[in-house]
Amino acid sequence: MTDKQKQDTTHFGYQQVPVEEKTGLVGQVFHSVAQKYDLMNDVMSLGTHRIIKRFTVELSALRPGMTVLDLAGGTGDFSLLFAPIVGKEGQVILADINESMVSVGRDRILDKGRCENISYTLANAENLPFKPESFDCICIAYGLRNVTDKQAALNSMFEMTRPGGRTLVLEFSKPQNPLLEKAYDAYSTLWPKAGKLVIGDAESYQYLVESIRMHPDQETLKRMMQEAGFTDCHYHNVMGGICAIHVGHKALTD
Amino acid sequence: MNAPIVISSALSGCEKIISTLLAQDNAALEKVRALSGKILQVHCEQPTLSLYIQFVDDQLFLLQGVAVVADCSLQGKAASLLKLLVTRNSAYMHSEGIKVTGNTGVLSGTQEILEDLDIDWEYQLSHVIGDIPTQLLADGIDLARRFFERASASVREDVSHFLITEKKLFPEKNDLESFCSDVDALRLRVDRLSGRIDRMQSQTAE
Repeated sequence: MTDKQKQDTTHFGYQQVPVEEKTGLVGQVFHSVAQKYDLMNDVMSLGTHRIIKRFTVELSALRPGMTVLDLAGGTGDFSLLFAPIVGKEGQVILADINESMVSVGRDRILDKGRCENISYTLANAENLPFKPESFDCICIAYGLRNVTDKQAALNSMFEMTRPGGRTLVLEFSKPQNPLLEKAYDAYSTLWPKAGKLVIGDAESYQYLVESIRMHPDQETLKRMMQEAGFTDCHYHNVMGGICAIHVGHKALTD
Repeated sequence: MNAPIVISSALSGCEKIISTLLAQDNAALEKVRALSGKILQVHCEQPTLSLYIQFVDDQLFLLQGVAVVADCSLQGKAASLLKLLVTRNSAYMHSEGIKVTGNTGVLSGTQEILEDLDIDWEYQLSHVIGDIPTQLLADGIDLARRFFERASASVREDVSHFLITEKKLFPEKNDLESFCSDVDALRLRVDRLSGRIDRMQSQTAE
């Protein structure tokens, strides 16, 4: 493969695909899993994703009246957690690039009767369609690894964060213990089989496993956030580093 | 799984229980609403633990405080804090061993919620197990409560009566000492008499 070809391709799991095709391929994956996304999350994480999300919400330091962007918000788990904290004076915007996921999330939120301070939009994380410095907090959970140009997404998030605000990135990461890493690798090989069993789609979960392996580790992602302009960047390893929550702040004065 | 996640999970459970309880008392919800936007820190010194209570609209959230600043901080030893909670008396927060900093109105508001909390647990339980079992259970608990109240009152009265009656039968200290002294003197005389008898017997034998 020539240098030119390398520049024009990106990873889609373990495969190299043309840059312009990745968004569509990821879209197909999430379109396929959208209806049973929450169920599969419970199966794969053995329910632990719920408490990880709660801890992430605590790190958001939200107060009533704040505006928060739930980026790659999918089925609305985070929006449902953010909405009561920001209260009636605040606002939560659920944004996702995938129409199927937003649709499932919107239906779920409406079914729970939580609609007074949650809005929905389709948005590409690489180029967020909002007025700069609109959000007190931006949270992207289990979404960044699916973005074609992660640095562009972080740059865009930085631009949309208000001075004094913060951005949170919850993502699968690198286990810190070699034994745990081996056990986790072995466990994650079961996910495509579980995907086949539950929703009849093994390929989507094969992509999920591969995309986790290809995602930057904790320190690399921290450097990327710093490069985007975030200050006081730090991360919390969760479950020995299987997941990590990165926190970056936007300084009050640039 | 690391500690913050485990704590977060435990707090989530407590939060749900508190929300369910508060939902039973509209007056308490009004008071929670009055504290909306405020954060109370409860810091226990022995053992060292910190809990943050965030009030938003008519809900409250329990936090570990990894990323928030409290409007009011309540510090004290576990026993003092527990007493403050159990007594439900706001006057106790000015007592020794309790330190309050920041906006004390937040603490007073929280105390008021605890003082006036009136939970209709029967109504809540009836949704789970049905009206008739709830009524039977409530009657049973009421019967047991009245039985224990009567029993404890009866025991207290009986013990008091027993002690008063028995007190009359017990000798005074001086009488007892005099009696013991007489017993000692008698023992000495018996010993001496026994010695004389032994000596007379040995003389007769010779």
